[in-house]
Amino acid sequence: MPSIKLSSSDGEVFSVEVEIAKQSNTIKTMLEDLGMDEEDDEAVPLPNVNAAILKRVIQWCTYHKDDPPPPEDDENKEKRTDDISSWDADFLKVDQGTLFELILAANYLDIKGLLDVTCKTVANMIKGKSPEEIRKTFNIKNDFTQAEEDQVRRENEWCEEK
Amino acid sequence: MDEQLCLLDLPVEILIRILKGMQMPDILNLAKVHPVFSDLVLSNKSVWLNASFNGVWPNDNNKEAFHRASVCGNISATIKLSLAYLYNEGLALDMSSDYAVNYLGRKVATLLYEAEKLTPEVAPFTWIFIRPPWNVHKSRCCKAEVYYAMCEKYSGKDILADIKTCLARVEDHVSPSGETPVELFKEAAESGETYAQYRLWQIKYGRLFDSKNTTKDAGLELEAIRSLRSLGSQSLKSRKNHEACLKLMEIYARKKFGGVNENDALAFCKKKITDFNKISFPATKRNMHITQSMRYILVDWLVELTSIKCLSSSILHQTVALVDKVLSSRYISRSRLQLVGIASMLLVCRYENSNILTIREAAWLTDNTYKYGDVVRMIGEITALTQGRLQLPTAYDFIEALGYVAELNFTGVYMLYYILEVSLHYFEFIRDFGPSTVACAACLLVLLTLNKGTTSAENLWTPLLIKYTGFTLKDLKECALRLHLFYTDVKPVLDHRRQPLTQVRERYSRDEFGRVSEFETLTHQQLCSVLSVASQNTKKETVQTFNKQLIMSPTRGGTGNFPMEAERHLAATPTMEESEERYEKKRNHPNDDSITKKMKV
Repeated sequence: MPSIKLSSSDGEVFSVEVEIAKQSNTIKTMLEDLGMDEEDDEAVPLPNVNAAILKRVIQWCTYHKDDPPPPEDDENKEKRTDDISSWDADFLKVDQGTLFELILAANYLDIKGLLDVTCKTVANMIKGKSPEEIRKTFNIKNDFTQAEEDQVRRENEWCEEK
Repeated sequence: MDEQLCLLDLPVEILIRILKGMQMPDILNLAKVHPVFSDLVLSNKSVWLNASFNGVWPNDNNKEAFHRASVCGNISATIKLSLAYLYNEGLALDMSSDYAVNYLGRKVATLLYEAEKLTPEVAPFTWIFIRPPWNVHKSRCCKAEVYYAMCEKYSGKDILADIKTCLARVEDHVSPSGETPVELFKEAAESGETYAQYRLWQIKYGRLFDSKNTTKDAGLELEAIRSLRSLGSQSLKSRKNHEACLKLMEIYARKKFGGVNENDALAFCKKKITDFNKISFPATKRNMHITQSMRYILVDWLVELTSIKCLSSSILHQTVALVDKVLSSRYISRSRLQLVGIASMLLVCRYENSNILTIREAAWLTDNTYKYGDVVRMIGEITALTQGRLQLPTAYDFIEALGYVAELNFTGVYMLYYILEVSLHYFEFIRDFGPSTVACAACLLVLLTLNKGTTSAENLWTPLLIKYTGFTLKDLKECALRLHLFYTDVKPVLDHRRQPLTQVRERYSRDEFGRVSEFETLTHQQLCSVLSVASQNTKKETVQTFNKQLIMSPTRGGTGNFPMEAERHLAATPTMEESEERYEKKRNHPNDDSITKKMKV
């Protein structure tokens, strides 16, 4: 099984099967366009992803290597957030910092499946909560000045739910 | 070590991605969390375009959010908002003066126009909400008001073709095949709108293919088939030319090939039938609490309504398809299952029928378990969910054609109707085999029954049938055996009164349907023998009962079913749209109760 080497931002090198790595469109394009050879011993540098996150990303891609390609985003299709598989749900039982880093990594590496499932996980953390509860969940300070808050309230008045 | 990343640190494009498809109330809450989010929500169009409005209905507090989403191109918000204004549901509307009513009419007209514009893939549908029958006091009928506002606003040449078709279809109900609709259909057809093209074909050539037509004009017939073929062969992913295709299949089934090679014609039909079979609903675990027997009970009630209201079998099939569509995509509580059923039927009727089921009548048919507002909201929900694609393909669509190919007589065709309506009760069965297989297996069973097992199946399932449908006898055996059990061995589900639910059987025991359900059926052994399969020991299905009352109906409170005499009487159920009346009276029509009581007597 041919494999390539990936080098994290902090210099750790991972050896990954090409087919697994190609779930990342970024890596796939690099391999195809830049003519990077599979036999090449040189590691592909990924300056935006540290070793801890890259390890997890590889873990995710390894588990999902036989998945059918994710469907194109269909604007007309209803989005669902309740269809996260139990493996993914377990995989994403991580602290928020790691979750957000995974999102950034999935975005940078262009791995649609991982980006979808991580974004859905965050969306589910927001769902059904009051503003105060959302602040608590994500540890967000209420940064509105009184004046701003008044303004938002005014602007939002038109769309406040009963 | 860096400080931990926070939600606020994520780039805007990712935040937008997280917000994509989020429920509108959640988005509004998020906006109040932090200035970063409020800026994002208030300034970004795509957040509103992709916001979900599932289960949310416009009210005076959130209507601006609906408007904002509608302006940003959100289909669900646009559809629900237009219906909220049209049916005066959820919003406090000023209807005190002619001017105010006129203003509202224009508002609804604009919203419907937008809804049509946002759904180019879907056949024009918004006309069903404003189509006649109208209130006789035309000047104050809400639907008419919207229609006139539409005519006035959208009269130019370069108006959206879908809207022209909508106007034409409304006008078509006012004066069928009159000059105005024809002119409008012509304009829409020129811009490539497929329904309009088909309707014009129908007006021009339809009578040639009427079964009672005796005059022969070979030249004209050739011209008609040619022109229909060009409509039917337009390969549209969206199935917008569905009607033209079906008509063409029917004409080919009558061995009128219009100069085209017979093999090519049959190949066209075969392809369509094969395509049909692929239409299926994904198995979802979304509504596990709705069991097959509950669905059975609902379908049985829909069959009863079909009989009472003298609706066509086509409406029944489409209604059930729409219910399944809803059940496969939305969470529906048990207590709202019946509401989904009646709302689906109401929508399909408006699309298909010359008479409509009014909203008030729909509520009444559920013994007022659901109120006017519940029905309006549910039709909004279903229309938003399907984005106006209310016409779903079903096994019914080509059975007429199948009848011609199999050379069935009237009894045979009714038997086909009967068996297919029986099959509607078994969702998993249809899903597993596919609608085309089920229809063809039903046709095979009809042929076998009519021949009383005297001719072998090989002789009855002719080469022509194989060529036309693409199914060989072998493909159909298993399906036919299962289907046969449904109207012979399988015990009907019992409802909470322990009454067996057999509406389809009763419906087809009537003279007008040739009493086909009383026809002597083959036994399982006979069927196995003509199909040359080993007789299987069929598992006796246990009788299923659902102990709670699932369906509320003015007819089921008492001892049994409607006497048939009641039909005429029922046809006089409240037929006026409440929205119309509300223009004259405020909510809570004082006569509500008295009407119900009268009907119950």
